[in-house]
Amino acid sequence: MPNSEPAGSPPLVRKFWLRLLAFFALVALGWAGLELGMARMANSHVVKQRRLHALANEIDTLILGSSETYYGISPHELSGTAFNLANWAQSLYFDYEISKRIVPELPKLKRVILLVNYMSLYSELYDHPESWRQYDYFRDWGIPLQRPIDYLNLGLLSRVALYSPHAAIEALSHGFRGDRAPHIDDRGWYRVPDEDRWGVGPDQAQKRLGVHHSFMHQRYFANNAATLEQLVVFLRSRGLEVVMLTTPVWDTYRAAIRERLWEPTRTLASELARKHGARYLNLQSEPRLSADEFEDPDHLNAYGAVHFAHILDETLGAPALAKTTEPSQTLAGLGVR
Amino acid sequence: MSFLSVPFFLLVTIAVVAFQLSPPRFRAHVLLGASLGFYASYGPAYAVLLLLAATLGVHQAALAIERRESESAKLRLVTVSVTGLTVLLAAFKLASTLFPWAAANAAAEPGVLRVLVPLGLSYYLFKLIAYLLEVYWENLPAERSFVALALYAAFFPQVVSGPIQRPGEFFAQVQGFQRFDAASATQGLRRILFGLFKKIAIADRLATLVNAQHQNPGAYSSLELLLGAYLFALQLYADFSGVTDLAIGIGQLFGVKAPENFDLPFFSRNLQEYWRRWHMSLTSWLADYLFTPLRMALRDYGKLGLAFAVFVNMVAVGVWHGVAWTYLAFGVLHGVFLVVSVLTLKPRDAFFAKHPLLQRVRRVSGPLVTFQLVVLGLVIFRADSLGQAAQYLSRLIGWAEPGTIAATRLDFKLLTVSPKAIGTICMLGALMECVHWVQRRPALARRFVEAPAAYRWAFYYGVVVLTLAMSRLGEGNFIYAQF
Amino acid sequence: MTRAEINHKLGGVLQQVFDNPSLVFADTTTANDVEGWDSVMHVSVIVAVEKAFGVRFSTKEVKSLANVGDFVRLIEKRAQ
Repeated sequence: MPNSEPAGSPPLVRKFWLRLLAFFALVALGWAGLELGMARMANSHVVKQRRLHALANEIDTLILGSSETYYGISPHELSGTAFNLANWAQSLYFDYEISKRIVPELPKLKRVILLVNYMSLYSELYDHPESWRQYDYFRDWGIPLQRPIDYLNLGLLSRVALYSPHAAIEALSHGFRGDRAPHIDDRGWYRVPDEDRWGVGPDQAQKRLGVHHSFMHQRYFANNAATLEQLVVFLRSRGLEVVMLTTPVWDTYRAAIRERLWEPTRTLASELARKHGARYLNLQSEPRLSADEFEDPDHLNAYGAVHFAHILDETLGAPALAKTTEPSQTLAGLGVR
Repeated sequence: MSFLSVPFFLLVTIAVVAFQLSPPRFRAHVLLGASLGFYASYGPAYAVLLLLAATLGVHQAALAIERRESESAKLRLVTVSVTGLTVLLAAFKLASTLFPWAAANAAAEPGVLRVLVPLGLSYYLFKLIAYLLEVYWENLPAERSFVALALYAAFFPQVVSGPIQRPGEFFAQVQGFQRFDAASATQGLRRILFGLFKKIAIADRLATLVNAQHQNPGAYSSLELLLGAYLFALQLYADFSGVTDLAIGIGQLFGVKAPENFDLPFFSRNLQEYWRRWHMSLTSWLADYLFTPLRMALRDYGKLGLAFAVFVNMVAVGVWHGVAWTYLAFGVLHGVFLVVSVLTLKPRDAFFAKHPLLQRVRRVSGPLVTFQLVVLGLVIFRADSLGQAAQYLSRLIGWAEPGTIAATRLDFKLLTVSPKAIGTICMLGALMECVHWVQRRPALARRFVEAPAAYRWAFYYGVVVLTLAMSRLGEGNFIYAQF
Repeated sequence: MTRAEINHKLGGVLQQVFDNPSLVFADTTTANDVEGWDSVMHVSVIVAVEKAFGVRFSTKEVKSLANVGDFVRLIEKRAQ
């Protein structure tokens, strides 16, 4: 039990600390290697930015929003040259920030499609199961985080921490080849793989709504409403046609929606449309789409996306610069930066 | 503060540095400070005060017991104190069941053990009871230093999930805070690495599968549930032994060696042996402070007394984990198994002695059968309620409504882990057992420790990479992949 | 009884309890050294010894036994 003297002698102690330091130094080196490797791989934002810039001079329709539009509208079926700049969990704040940055670079842009669905007004990315995505927006778009506290996160600086050490090592095993965002086509659209079929039954709908309700909060409504209005005004001030869209969901999902949450959103969208000369298309219930065209109760699959894009195209017609209507409030008054 | 978090890592680092830099006579104080700080981070302020109050009470009681001359006075004092501590423990456990909102602060650590009380209450109260009894039995002098006793109760690597160290062992090592033990610290680091590997690469990888099956057994086939039952045994073993490794390893950074909790339990030849090899610090505590005194009191009642004592002991093992019907059922089940085993051991041994061929079969069948009984018990242990347990088990043996799901279906998409991943995890489990086996053989262990540093470091780095590769740490949640 | 007699008699008791006629022990033998001497058997040993020597131990006395030698001394004390 009593330890022999040498165990505690200063040279041995120093040796211990030095070895410990050396051990961690090598780990840090390995980590740095992984970081460099991961930096070489493009994520969905980088991929989409590249493809967007390739077509910048031709794009006349821009699609924003979160996964419902990311999966659910195939740009190829829309008249003209459409680009899908929606992304997973992309909230109104990011739609707005992206618009401010990208719209000036699209000279032929005529129409912007915005997603306003059940969750849009009640959620924020910083309070969401996929909040880690905000660091991608920061790094790849230069969009500031919404709350100072979110800056205290390893994911801000480290891709390995952000995408997980597991993903980094797996990427290493493939030589860091390729990108981290498969299934994205040249128009930014996410083509849902055929085998991703999760069913549209009442159980699945309950589960999805359970997840959605877990991050929907009344307290976010006011800010999101303001952001949506600012976005609409910004786009209208450039003479763009603005289409606020509610994408189709399956009956089982719709049946379980809480009307007291959904009604204010619809009212707001209609009001903004009227006020600023925009359009609000509520296609939440679209009888022309069948169960086979849904990946899960609130997402269309690739076939549904093609069909839905046709429907949209019929409804909207070809994009044309709308008459610039005077916004009822000045941009400055809205605090548009 | 979870063991697997950045704040905890910082705490340990700061504690080690502060421990090293402070003069030897203050090291116990530094550790106590770190321990109380750690404990305070877990929950309500009253939890720390409760711990200190309980320790102070015990401190005084022990001194008083030693001072008293008459045997009956000593007995009275120890009975009152031990009863008081037991009542305190029972009250909190019952309160947290009757008032779940009060337990809201208690984080679940390790993942599966649901300790629904101010975290660590079971652990430190058990330690204090052990201390009181050892003082009463005159195996230990009453500890004069309150700091030493408080450190024993609150020692942060052990307070959350054990092991439950005996007072004598602990106090003896506190004397050794005089110098830095580099060998112990190195051992500790190795232990920590191994614990992290077990928890991250094995246990946490199985958690989703097992949780999903217990949440909704009706959605799975018999074969899937069977697979899940075995995987849960692996998960719990890796999780708990991993957390134990972390606890022991961190203690070793301060030169404190804690008792082992596991000794290749799944190779036990019978259930009695199993409970001497699984969660050893708990079962040996119960053996010394519950079973033996109870058995002694009942020794005039022959086999009935023995059966009763064994049964009570196993029920105690069950409800120690929490006040829930499932834990009670688990304890009762093992109580019945053990009573049968204990009462029939002699006749069984005699039978096998007469049939040497069967004796050889028994060497293999014994551990196999024991393991099946263990897995069965663990299904009940893990279930969220008795109803769920019943549903799980009845689906498992195919009693539930036949029809929609084929009994032998293996839907890996539903299980959320691919066959390759399951295979890998099982291999890692086997690797883990190999290391356990080596750990229990000092000669082999020494060969490893004395191997050239390059080989050892290569092994360590391999474990690090393997752990990270298998981990799901920091993986961005992806709610759109599946629910 | 002399110490030697106690040792001898104790040996017989232990051999009977553990069903092992060739069991031997020394003063320093502990429960860990004997196969099968777990907490269940421990009390069986105590009971058998109590019967054989006609004594009765308290739990406290039993709990302070560290090895067989202590046991022998305890028996010696009680058997007076």
